[in-house]
Amino acid sequence: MSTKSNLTKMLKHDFSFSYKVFFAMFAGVVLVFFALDMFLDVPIYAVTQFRALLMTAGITGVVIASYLQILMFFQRNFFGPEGYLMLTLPISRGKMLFSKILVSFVWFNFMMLLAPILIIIITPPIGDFWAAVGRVLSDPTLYIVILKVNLAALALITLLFLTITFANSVVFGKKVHGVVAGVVSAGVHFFFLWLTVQILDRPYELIQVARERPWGTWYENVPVAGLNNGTFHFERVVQIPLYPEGYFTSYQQGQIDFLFIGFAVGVCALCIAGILYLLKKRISLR
Amino acid sequence: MDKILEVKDFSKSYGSFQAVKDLSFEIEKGKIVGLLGPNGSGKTTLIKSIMGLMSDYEGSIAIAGNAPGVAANNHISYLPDVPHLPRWFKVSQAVDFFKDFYADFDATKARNMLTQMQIPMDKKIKALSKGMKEKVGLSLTMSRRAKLYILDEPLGHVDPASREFIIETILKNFNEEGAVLVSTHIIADIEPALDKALFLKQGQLILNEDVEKIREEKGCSLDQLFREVFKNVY
Repeated sequence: MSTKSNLTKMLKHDFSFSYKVFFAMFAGVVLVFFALDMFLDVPIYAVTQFRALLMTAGITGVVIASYLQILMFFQRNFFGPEGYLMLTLPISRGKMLFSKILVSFVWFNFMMLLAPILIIIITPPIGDFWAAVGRVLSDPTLYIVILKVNLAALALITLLFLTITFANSVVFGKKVHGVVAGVVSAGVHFFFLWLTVQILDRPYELIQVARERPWGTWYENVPVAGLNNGTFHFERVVQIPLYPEGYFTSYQQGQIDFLFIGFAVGVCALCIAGILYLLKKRISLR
Repeated sequence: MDKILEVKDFSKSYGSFQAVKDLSFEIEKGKIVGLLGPNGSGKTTLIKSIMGLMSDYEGSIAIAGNAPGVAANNHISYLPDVPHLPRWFKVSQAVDFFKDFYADFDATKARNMLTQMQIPMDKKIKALSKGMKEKVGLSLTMSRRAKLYILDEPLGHVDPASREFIIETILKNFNEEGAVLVSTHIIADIEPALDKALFLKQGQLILNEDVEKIREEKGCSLDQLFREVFKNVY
């Protein structure tokens, strides 16, 4: 049996282990939002504070529940009684880990799709909806944001997996105490969070430019285009609709933060290496 | 004779506690070997190390010439002493899972054994009793043509009548080109099936002998000898 086919089978089983829970969770939230939208007595074209609060609560709840599901799935599959089945299969732990990370990544992106769906349900659009959708989908900065969010999520998922693996390992001949694991994990998380903030919150070289608007000349401080302190800055011309008719020319800033991308990839690689080391050398299934 | 399992100078500690010390033995093809000892004697520690579920030990372990790992797992059919099948699986899904991952797994044989044990294929694992879960695990394990079968306490959670059935199942279904290592402390039931006995006491191998030879030399059954040797342990 080839190792490639074993990985495909592992992916198939990992998806089948998890899809019911995620589908049920997402379907439940969408249905609740539909029901609330039908029965809430608020002005239909107004995005009220209540609707915004509801949307935030719904999306936050799904994000937290999804992360918990992903972590519980990892914990149960490797370190619960199921570990006696999974870790004795004729498939390397590296491929098993890759399968878990890929499945988590897919569910995370599925969850990201939920946010625009909920927004559409709870906030009926004004104007030409499909034209607006077209503008959003043709915006390259959307895909840059999706890439950054995915990398950040992958880094967080692998960091949490490392935490769980550490908590189930043997160090200096003894199983890691839960409190010790918690303290070390919290320390590592805060360190990486601090490092992330340092990387994201850094200065860029700015220049002042004049922009012509329908209401007059507007002066903006924009980052210098090109590679600027680890980030590639670019600008694109966009047409913003004017009401009741017409458009005006504006400029949208975009950036590809290579430093952040490299950092996120580095964190993922470090965490995966750590998990594999612990699974190979420090595992102690109880 | 072909050596299926070779353990040399195996030692394992948990911090300052020495769980197993300098264990060495071999299991040849075609043999059913009992790994016998009271709770805490090191049986499960040894088995987990063979299965790669525990690392950081001293000494060496070889299964059909392979160190514990992916290659060795292809040759070992393992039944742990805990319910290890995903609780949400149906019995039929468990059969399909084993069929997917093990080239030597005989799904038809497994289904026949489960039918004989009157276990419904469409029932979820979580809905089964402990004894039924044990039987499902055993059917899946014995439906492989493995080189080494490792059964950790297969008789622990079943009634006496079922124990006889389980022992028969082991005898009828194991690959005679392979070997069986059974860990248990229910000696009387398993004794007729054993070719060899390994007694583990406080992490040390105190007996490694053919069962027939034990009976001839000691003039008693294996069960009686076990009770004599371990009477002060409890």
